[in-house]
Amino acid sequence: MSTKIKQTRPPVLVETYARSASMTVLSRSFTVIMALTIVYPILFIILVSFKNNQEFFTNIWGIPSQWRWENYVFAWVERGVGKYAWNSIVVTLLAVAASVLTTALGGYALSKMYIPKAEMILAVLMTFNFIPGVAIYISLYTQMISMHLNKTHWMLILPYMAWQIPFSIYIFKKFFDSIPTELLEAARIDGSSELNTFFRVIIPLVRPAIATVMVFNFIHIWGEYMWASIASSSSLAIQTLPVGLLRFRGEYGIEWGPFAAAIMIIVMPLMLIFVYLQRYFVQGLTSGAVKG
Amino acid sequence: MYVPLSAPYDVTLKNESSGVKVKVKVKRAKSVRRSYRIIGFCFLAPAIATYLLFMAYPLSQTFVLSLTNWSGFGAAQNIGFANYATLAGDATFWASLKNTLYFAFFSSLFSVTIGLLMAWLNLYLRRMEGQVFRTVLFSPSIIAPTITGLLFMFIFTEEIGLLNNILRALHLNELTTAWLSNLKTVKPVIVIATVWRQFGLCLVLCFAGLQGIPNSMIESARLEGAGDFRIFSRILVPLIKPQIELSAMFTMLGGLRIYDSVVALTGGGPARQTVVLPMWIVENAFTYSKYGYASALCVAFVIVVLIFIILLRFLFRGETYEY
Repeated sequence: MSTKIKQTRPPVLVETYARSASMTVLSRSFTVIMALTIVYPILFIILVSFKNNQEFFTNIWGIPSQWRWENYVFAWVERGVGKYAWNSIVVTLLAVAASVLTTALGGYALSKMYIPKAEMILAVLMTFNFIPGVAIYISLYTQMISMHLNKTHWMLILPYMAWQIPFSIYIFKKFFDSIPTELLEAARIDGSSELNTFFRVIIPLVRPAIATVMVFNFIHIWGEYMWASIASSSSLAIQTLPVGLLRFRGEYGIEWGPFAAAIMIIVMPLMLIFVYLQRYFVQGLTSGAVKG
Repeated sequence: MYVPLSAPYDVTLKNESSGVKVKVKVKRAKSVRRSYRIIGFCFLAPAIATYLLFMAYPLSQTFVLSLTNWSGFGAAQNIGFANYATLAGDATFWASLKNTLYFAFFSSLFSVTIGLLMAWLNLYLRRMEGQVFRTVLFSPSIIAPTITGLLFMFIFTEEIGLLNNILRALHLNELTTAWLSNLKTVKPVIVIATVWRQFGLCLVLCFAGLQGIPNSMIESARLEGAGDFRIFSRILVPLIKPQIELSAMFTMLGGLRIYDSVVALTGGGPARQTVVLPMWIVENAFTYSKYGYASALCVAFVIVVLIFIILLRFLFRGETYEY
C-alpha cells in the first residue's frame, strides 16, 4: 500500500453525476421499484396482522375492514408470545451489556496497553468469527450440561455474549486507535488509575463506538435462531421469540392474523432501534471498509 | 514539546565544536511499558477467557468428538477416522454441501450486483432523497433471517401467496405455481429471499466507497467525453474494488451459513432437495443422536469455510488503485 495522505474531500455534489435528465429518471424509477419490493411485503404483514382468518382469505389485499388489535393480544397472551418476548429481552439485554463491557476493556487494552502482537490477536479472532456456529453447537450443548447451566437463561446469554466478542473488540480497537495517546498520558501523569482513566476519560470519548457495538449485538442476538432452538429443545422455559415463532406455525393450523401480529412484535424493536440509531449501524459496517 | 511517556521518541544531539548532528531514538524504560502491559492483560482477560470457553474450547471438542461414535449416552469410543470414511460416501452430505455452495454463490453474486447498481443509481438522486432510499433499501438487513423466511412464505405460498395472487390478477394463470414445492423454483426462491435481505448491505458498503471518489475525477472524465455508463464501468467500479470485494466476502461467508431462512421457508423440502449442510448436521446430532458423525460433518464444514476464506483472500489480493 502506498502512503496515505489525509485530505478532507468535498462532499459529493449531486450535480457531479446528475447531468442528464434521462439518467435521473432511470435512477429514480429503479430505486422506487426496489424500495416498493422492500416496503410492500412489510406493509402486507402489518395489514394481515389486523385481519382474521376469514378476512385474510376473502380480502387479502385491502385495508382490514376492522382493525383487530385483539390479534396482538391473542398472540401475546394465548400463544405465549409474551413469554417468548420476556426471554428474548432478558437474554438480549444481559448478553449485550456483558459483551459491551468486556470488549470495551479488551479493545482498549489491545489499542493502548502495549499488548504484544495485538494485530495478530485481532486477526485470529476475526478469522474465528467466520467459522459457522453450527460447528460448535454439539459440544457446547454437552459442555453446558456439564457446567449445570442448561435450562437456565445463562445457556443463551454466555455464548451469545462470547460470539459477539470478535466484531465488537474490532470496532472498539478501531475507535480507541483514533484517540490520541497524549490524553491518556496526561491522565496517567495526574495520577489517575487505569480503570479510572478508562471510565472517566476514555469511555465518554467513544460513545459512538458503544452505540455501534450495542446496535450490532442487539440485532444479531435478538434474531438468533439456531442455537436458541437447540438450547431450548430441553427446556421450553427459555424459548426466545424466533424459536417460539416457528413453533407457532407448526403447532396449530396457521391463524394468519395472530401469526403476522407475532412477526410484527419481533420486528418492531429492530425497526425502532434501526430508525433511531442507523447512523451507528452504517458507521460500524463501513469502518475499515472506507479508505483513509 | 510534549513527549509521550511510553512511546519511543527522537532526540537530536549536536556536537557544538564539530557541528555534527546525530539522531538518537530514545526508548522509554521497559518497566513502564511492562506495568501497562500487565494491566492490559487484565483488561483483555475477560473477553478472551469467555471467547475461549464458549468458542475455542467447544470447537476443539468437536474435533475430538468427530473421532468417536458417541451417541449421547455412555462413554465415547474412539473409532479413528471411520466417521470421515462414512462421510465421503454419504450422498446427503454431498447434496447438502452442493446446496450450501449454490445458495452462497448465487445469493452473493446477485446481492453484490444489485447492491452495486443501486449504489451507483443512488448517486443520481438528490441528497436527502438518496439518504431516505438508502435507509429503506438497507432496512431488511436488520431483520432476522427467520423472519425473512416467514415473510417470503406469505409471498410464495401456493394458495394464498401474494405472488400467485398478483399473477392471477394480471391474468397470467399459467405462470402460477407452487413455488415452494416445485423443484424448479424452490431454490431460486430461497436465493431471492436471501438477496432481498442482504443486498442493502452491499449497497451501503459500495456507496461509502463511491462517496470517497473525488469529484474532479468525474469532471475530467466528462470533459473527455465519457458517458454515464462508461464512467461507471471504467472509473467507479475499479476505484471501489475494495468495497466490492468486502461485500462479496460478507455475503459469501454469510451465505455459507444459510440455515434459518431455509428452515422457515421449506424445512429442507420438497423431497429433501433444499437441505443445507447445517440442517444435515443438526438432524444427525439432535434427531438421530449420532453426535460423533455430526461432529465429523462439522469439521468438514469448518474446512470448507476455511478453504473459502483462503480462496477469497487469494482472489482479492490484486492491486488497488490509489487516488
